[in-house]
Amino acid sequence: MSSAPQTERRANVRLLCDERFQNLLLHIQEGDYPVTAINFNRAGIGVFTSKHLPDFTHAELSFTFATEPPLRLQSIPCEAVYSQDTEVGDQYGLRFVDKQIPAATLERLEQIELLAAESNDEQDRYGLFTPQSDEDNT
Amino acid sequence: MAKQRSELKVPVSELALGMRVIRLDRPWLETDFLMQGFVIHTQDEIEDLIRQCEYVYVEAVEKAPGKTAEPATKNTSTKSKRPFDERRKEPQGLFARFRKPPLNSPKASTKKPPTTTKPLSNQRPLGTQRVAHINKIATEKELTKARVTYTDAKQSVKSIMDGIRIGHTLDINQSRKAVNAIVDSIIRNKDALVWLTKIKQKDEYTAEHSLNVCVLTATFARYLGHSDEEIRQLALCALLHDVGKSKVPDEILNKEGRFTDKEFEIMKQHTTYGRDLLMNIKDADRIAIDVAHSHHERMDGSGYPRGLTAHQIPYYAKVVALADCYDAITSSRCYDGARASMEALDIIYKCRGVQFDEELALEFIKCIGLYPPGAIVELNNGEVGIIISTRDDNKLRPRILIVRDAAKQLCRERIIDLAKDPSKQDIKIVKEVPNGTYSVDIRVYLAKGLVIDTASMAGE
Repeated sequence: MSSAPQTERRANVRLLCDERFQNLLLHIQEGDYPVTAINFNRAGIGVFTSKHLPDFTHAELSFTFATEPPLRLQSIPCEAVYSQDTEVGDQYGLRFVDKQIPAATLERLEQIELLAAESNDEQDRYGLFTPQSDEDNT
Repeated sequence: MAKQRSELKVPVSELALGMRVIRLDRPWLETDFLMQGFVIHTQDEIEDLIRQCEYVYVEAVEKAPGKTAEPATKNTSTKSKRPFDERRKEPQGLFARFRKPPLNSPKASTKKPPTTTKPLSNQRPLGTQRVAHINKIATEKELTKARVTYTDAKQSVKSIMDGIRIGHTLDINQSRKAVNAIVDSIIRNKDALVWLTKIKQKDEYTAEHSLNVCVLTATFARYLGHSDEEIRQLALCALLHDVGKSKVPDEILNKEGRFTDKEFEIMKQHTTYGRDLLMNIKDADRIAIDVAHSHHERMDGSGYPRGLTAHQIPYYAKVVALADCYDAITSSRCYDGARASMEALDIIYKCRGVQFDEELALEFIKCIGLYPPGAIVELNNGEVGIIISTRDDNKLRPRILIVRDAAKQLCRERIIDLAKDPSKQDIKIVKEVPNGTYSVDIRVYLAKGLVIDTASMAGE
């Protein structure tokens, strides 16, 4: 059984990627394209780029999660679940193709999800909304 | 005797105040000058020309047959009656306000730029004064008016874009009229029109996007504490930011699916088209020209068309770029608009400082909030509601119209105010859900004018 079946994936929270997600490269056909990590869980990742990428349904993603020691993930097979190109940039939802991913990599993805979850505030995703003083608002 | 007018080639070192520059030694589009032809009013303009050209062509007057033509000069302190001159009251060109020290003239760099009626800079204009705007009317009351305003404005935008396509001149007064109605509504209530931006009509994307960016920009400007006049100016810039798309072929503009590289390059030209269109409008606001040209420029220089970097991008373009990005992402065909709000905010948050001005990006996220008006949310008690309005000082505790009970069944609609009602202290929003979840469709509530039992509005 997959460690991240579809039903579970849908239940997973999309965690906001922090600055520990680094050096993301999407390998499409013959080229490598830098992308920005937007949100993540063990089953997939949302990425964004202001550049226009070639058409693709399958790609490979490499990135580093900057923890101690750094977790490096190379050439994770993924498929585009959605894509949207706008004049402000291209947005992709990538699903990791579990069946093609080695067990060790899947473990790393789960580990990264746990670490990322620790720094995500479910109530205040960007850390911008916690009221300074509740008394002032009443 | 009638004077003959012709043009005269003049080295930039010999330029003088009052000369009318007709042509440059290179295409205007390769320079910083927005206006293609102007009377030199200031020394700074001469310096701009020295910096960018070797010689220019100025209008010349031939006094008598056989006599050498001489440059025509005007009294620069007197406003010309000719439209061409009227548009040259201020120093021109984006870089007119980011002046570099002129070559071989260190003293001139200390010269104070000429005073303009509208301070233009890449910093917040008139930023020392922050206006505290308050809602003057409840969202549910404003919504009825806002719907009419939104519909009329959308029609105006469509009419403007369609007119340009068939060769008509952009009617700036029609644009201003639409903007004024929008801003009036937003000044009365900041949430009602934002509600309406949640409803996306796929087949009217370009007009709707321009309007939504206008609404979001005005809402953001109000949040930032701009004056009414500044809000109107920013909103006009936003409404016209994509006017250049009317010059992009329909088959590209309305294409379903991804653009090819070639199509994308054509699409990118809308910024230059927009600048050119607005430059030809007699009463066009200079800032609107800048915004149409620069709203895709990015802080790290990765934007287009000129690859400007942070300090070169006009403040107004930075503001509009955020609203533009937010609406473009939330207009996704793949996502429900409500669900995409967080996606768009995630992108803005992650790209802050690199693509978007960091400070403005964070303020924009604070302005929109995690749960914007019109979002459908599930509470920790199982109830489901629609965000009616938010408080700038407590975005996590909005006013919510409860539409489903804990069993997700229809219930008596009522409004709760999480910030004000002490009995709701334990109530929290668990998550936002896509429009349509639990059969809740915000369009239904908009269509019926958000009519709610008035007793439940006592807290307003």
